[in-house]
Amino acid sequence: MGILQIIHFRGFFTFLMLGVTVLTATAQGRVISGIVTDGGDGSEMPGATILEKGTSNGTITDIDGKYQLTITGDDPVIIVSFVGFEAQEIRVGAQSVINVALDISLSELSEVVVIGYGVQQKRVATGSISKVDAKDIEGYKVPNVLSAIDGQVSGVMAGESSGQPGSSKSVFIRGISTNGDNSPLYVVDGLTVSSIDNLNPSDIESVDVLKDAASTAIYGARAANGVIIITTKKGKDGTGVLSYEGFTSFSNPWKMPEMLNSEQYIELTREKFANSNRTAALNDLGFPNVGDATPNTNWMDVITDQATMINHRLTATLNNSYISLDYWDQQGVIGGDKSNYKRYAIRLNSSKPVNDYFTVGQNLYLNRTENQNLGVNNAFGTMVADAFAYDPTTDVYDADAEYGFAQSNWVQKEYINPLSRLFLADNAGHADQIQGNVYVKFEPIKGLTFQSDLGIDFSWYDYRSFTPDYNYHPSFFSVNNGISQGYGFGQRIQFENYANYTKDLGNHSLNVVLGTSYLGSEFRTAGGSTLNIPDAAKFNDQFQYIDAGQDTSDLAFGRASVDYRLLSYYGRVIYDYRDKYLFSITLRRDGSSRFGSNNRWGFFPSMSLGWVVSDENFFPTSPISFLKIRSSWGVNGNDRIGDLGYSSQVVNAFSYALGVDHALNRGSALATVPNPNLKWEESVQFDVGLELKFFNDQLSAEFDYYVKTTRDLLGNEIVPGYLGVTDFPLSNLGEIQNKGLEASVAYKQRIGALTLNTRLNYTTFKNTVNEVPGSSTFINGWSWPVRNAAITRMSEGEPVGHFVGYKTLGIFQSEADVFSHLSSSGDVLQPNAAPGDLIFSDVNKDGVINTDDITSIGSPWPDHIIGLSFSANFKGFDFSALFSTQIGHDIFRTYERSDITFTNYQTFWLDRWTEENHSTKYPRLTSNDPNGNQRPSDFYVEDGSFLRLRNIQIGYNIPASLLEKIKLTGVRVYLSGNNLLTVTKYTGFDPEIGTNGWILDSGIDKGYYPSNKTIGAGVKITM
Amino acid sequence: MKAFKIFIIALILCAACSEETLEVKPVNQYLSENFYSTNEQVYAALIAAYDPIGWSMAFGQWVSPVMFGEIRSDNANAGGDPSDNDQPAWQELDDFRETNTNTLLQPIYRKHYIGIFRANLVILQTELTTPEVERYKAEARFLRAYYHFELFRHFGPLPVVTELLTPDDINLERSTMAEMMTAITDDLKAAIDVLPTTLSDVEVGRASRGTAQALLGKVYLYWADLDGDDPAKFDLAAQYLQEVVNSGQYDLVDDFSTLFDYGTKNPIESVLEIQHTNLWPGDWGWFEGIEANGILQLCGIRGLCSGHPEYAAGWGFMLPTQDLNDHFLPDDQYRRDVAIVSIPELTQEVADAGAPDCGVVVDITQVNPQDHTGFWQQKFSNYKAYNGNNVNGGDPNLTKDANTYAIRYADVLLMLAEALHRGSGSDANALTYIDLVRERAAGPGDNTGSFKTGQTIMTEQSWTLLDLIWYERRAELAGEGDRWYDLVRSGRATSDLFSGDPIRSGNLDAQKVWIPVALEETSVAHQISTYPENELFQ
Repeated sequence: MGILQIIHFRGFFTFLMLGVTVLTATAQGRVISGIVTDGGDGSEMPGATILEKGTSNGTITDIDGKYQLTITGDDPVIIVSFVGFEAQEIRVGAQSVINVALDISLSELSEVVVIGYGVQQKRVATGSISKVDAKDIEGYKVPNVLSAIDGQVSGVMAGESSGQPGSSKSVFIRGISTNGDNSPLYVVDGLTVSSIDNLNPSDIESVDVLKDAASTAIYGARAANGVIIITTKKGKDGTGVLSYEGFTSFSNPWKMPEMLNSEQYIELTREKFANSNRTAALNDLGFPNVGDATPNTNWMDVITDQATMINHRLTATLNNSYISLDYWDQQGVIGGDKSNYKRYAIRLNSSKPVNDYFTVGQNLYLNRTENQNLGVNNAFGTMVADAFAYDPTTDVYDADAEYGFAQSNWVQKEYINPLSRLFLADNAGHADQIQGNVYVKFEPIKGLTFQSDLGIDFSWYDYRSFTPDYNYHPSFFSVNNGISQGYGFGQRIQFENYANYTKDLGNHSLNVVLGTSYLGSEFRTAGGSTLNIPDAAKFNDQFQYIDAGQDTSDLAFGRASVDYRLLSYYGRVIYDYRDKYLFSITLRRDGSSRFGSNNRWGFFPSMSLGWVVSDENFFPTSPISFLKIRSSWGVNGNDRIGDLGYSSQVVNAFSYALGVDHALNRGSALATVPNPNLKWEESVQFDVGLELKFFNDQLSAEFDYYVKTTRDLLGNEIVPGYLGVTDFPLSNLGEIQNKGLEASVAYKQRIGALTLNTRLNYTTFKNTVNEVPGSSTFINGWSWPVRNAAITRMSEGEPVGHFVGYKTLGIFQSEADVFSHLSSSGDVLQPNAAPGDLIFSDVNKDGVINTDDITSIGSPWPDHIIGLSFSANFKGFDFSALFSTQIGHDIFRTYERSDITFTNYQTFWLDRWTEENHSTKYPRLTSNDPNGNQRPSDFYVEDGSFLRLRNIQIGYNIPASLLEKIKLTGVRVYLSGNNLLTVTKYTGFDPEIGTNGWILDSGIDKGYYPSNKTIGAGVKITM
Repeated sequence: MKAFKIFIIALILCAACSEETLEVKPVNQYLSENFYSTNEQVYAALIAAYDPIGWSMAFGQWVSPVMFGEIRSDNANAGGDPSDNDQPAWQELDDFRETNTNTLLQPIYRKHYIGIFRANLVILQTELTTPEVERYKAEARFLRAYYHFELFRHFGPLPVVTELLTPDDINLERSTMAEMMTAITDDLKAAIDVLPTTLSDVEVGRASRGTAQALLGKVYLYWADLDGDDPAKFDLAAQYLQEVVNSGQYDLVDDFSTLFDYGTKNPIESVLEIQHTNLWPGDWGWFEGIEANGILQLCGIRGLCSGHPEYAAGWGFMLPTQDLNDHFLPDDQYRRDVAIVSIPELTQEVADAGAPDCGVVVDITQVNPQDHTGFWQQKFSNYKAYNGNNVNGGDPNLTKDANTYAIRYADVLLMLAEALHRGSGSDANALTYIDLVRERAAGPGDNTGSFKTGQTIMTEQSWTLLDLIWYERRAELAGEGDRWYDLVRSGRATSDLFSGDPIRSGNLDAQKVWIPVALEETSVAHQISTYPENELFQ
């Protein structure tokens, strides 16, 4: 439990205690008094318990941490305790004033997890929940909290989708649950939100990851991919605390792909043509010879640059309020000032008791983000793809060329000088968001609360872009310049009403939650575009608005979403007997507007059991201080598909030009066929877990095994083309299963002033498609455009999105090899091959190598995911390191455009097969590829395993004695580095490819915007 | 306890609003149940049924029937950039190397079935019986026939779809040729009964009675040819084509070259013309939404110097073969010059325009060396004038708006001649119609007396009338995309056509006269065979 969380907890306690007399003191005896403080920061602790040992005589501290207790015994001993802190026993003796400083407990027995509509002691929880505290992400300066939790929780696979500032992250909890949207449900302070990309990680107090069905069931619908509950920091009572934190860092790509220099490029290109007997053609073109003086441009260097990041942050806590102001400004390593992310954020959380029964509060988050983006991870139209393909013999600049950018004579088609591509990009977007909730809590009697919670998430965005006219080469030009502008508004409203009743009856304790939830969301956009603003205004931001256009034919658009609504009823009973036998049951019923009246409502039950074995009398005294076995089963739902899939919508967009004026007539038709039986996707999950603690809780371990089966997957059903639909209909299809094991081991030790914490998280899962819809055994996924072949599939018996292609068997070393690669009937399988070409396997043994031999050649999903964190505190110093590792995932290298005759290559191609070099895996180069070496095969599939030092930090807290004079209570200075070390054999820009928005487009490297290596320094001043 | 009451009320309120809350309405769209109930709505449905005719691209692929008819045949090579792998699917189709994973197959298949589905919506979904709706339905039946016929021309017999199918209908089989042709001819006859003879200015581009009659004639011609030269069907072809001629609605334009000038649209010769416009800002984001004619840029001259007076450089597809160039007889150079241009001719044009600093007029290093012939097509010329005429923006490569003749009057005359000759009609009449075409082909103005008649040519060349018809069709329609289909229907699509080309002649076998149904389709609809069985034609 983190310091800040305890502070929160203390505040919470204070409310509960105010006005409620809990313990009474007896009249006789002498009075002692004192003040209880937090040994960490010296602040007063309201709500701490002071109990005379062996009696029921006790009290709690008031709002200033003060207490007064009349003691009765002869040689009294008091026990001072507070949840999350180590209790102290103090012999009173002759003292009348006893001030106590409590230290944070090393034990996690008192750890609390957020379970949705309540919290629960971790020790009696029956679900599988992992928690990340504020302290675990503090100083780890990333704009998105999902980056920060990667490696810190078991069962979670987090991936970058690009290293571009402001890009969103992909997160998978317990494998790949669906072929649709796999993102978990995010709940921020009780409000479900669609994305947490813009949430400020520094405001977060804790992240609870709910993994098993019993934990997530209270969120029934939409919980099938797991739930991430984020609790933001809350204020505390008492003296205010004001702090400032400043941080700045410098980033570079963690690695630069090594490309051929111009001499090597000329040599390899010439060899390539010579191998195809086309040297004469090359000479006719005037292609340079080895030794000719040419420019030598390293395009990777040209496109990358050191990027800076600055963060200023001011926080204040006072009067049960928490206020933060935060400014974040980050540049990208590619694209300079055209790839950046700025965020201005304000958070205002507070809660106040109105009277003895009512508490009101609010959590409010306001932010503005300013974002400029470049295209990423795409073989077409990105600077990275340009830099991989562009030849080094072309200069960067040429004063005579369009806008001064030299264009290659050799590499054309989709490629242009990457800086000239950057020059065309001129877009800017803003987004403003108000997100938060207000609530009123009513507690008529102790143990019973009613809470009514209204949440909103409003966002506004606007963007504009300008594209100049340009004429870079004959197939890459635009005769018009153009402006487009657009606005959008989205709103989401959530209304929660629930009752929570807690009762302790001796050995029995009971907690019941009952409630309803309503969620509605919609968005609207409008915008327009125009052409040909005057030359003088072209590159001037001030004129980049539609009205600057000379055209009278401005095109406008306005759109709105179909409303989305969700209505839910839920209930949960948690019962335990003597904290030893644990039981919970959750029922939830959800109705979603995305389904027709036949199947609108889904019912999602779950139950879980736990047994704290170590509390049994028969449990022997042993190093094992705690042992719990728990198990859960439940069903979760998912409604994340398009709207109105159950009805037949007439789309008014199918135009045809008619008449002598060739005017466009708008046409209307069904784009697809309706599916009135569309229903909830369901995932059924069984989980068994074991929690262990050893040596007085110094060492703790938690293991979970689960089987999760998702059925009636929501997706687009591939129907025969003769149905004539433009879009494939939404349908329930197929089944996916994930089986997995998770382990988490933590070790803590205090040696004098030195505190050590180590934590290891391990995740493994096996993902299998049990069934695909229709009569086929697979569905094609992402297609490699320049090879015209689908290279991922969803196939029965294989993981979702596995790679397919030809299997290679090495390289033909001689003509004899070619003529000995025979079918069973003695035919030469690859008659067009020459020595140095790839050998392909006749997988189905039908005597011919054709598309029937396409087979599974890899999987984008890792076999093992490991996170290791380590931290140490010694006096004023602190140190932490976080490693993360993924082992066994494959990456399909598709950015390599060997089909482009004059493309450049990475330096590993220097090891290509030649008459002299036979011991290599790289085939000979040819310009016409008679053997089809370029066909999608395992030659392009590489092991993406990596080990990464995600974050390392060293901090120093300046001693309080030095600070008193300047009226400060704390100053921490620190250095923090991200991704300073990466170990991988992968040859592309980055081994962490992640998912590009579609699950069947995972692990494919199309020219990735790399992750950054960042080093920075910060200071935090508290007063 | 007031709050408690409020809470209970809130709970109840939310419970009460349940079902209605979850009924959401579409935005900017009708549901099918509420649509097809006014003339305007049925008209919009009809427009959607026309839409796929105009697709240059579908599902990421160029799906031009013009390119297919030329590149697949001995008229043209695929072309593209020097890699010989530009648009690989077209390269495969050019060389008869395609398998059922060729990426053009499914887009071609789906494009036409989408058209059929939308036509069926017009025919089946409305209860209105107004005269307007009756006409729209007739047009939809015309379109349904057109799309079925196009499917047939590519794949051979495929399932006839005349009702709205559901995702459960995965067991359709290929229809027989007779079933398919019967369905097509029934639709066209029904359309002919209703469609108007003339079109108003705003209706230009829609199907008229003549359009349906011409297509019906063409369908009977194909059917007769593939059904063992059935003379009765040739007679039916002649009957409907004769009605087109007799209608007086069409004529040959005097100057053949003006048919393909910049800006020529819907001339009097146009019987069925695919309409395009530059008014929609098409781009690469929505392929089926491109309303212009994408093949102008795609099939423009690759590597052409910017100093050419009329043409902008293109991407170099659909390169006419030497064989096509040599097909034109010495007296037929006017037609040849309209269809084909060579490098020396281009060089001369640049020189005439006074642009000597052009250097190399055509940089052939940018051209696919395997497919390069030294000739370029110029019926779909990439006129410079297109650049900048896209007044509403869009990608300039995808906003070039020349129309495409699917059937023009010269084709009707030649088909009529063929049907008369191969049926029970008079050869003399056939020659009369051929001579109308030949007279015009000799050049602008009245060439009566000076042009070589069909009879003269037959004598000079020792040709039969059928030889003459084949000569005329290839010469008149060169570069317009009818060649391959003509070859297939008449049984001339054999490896002999490519005798000088070992790759093409080696790859072309009897099966390849049809393209395979894509693997993606046969794996969801198992009863559809990849290639049509011979029995289907009996």
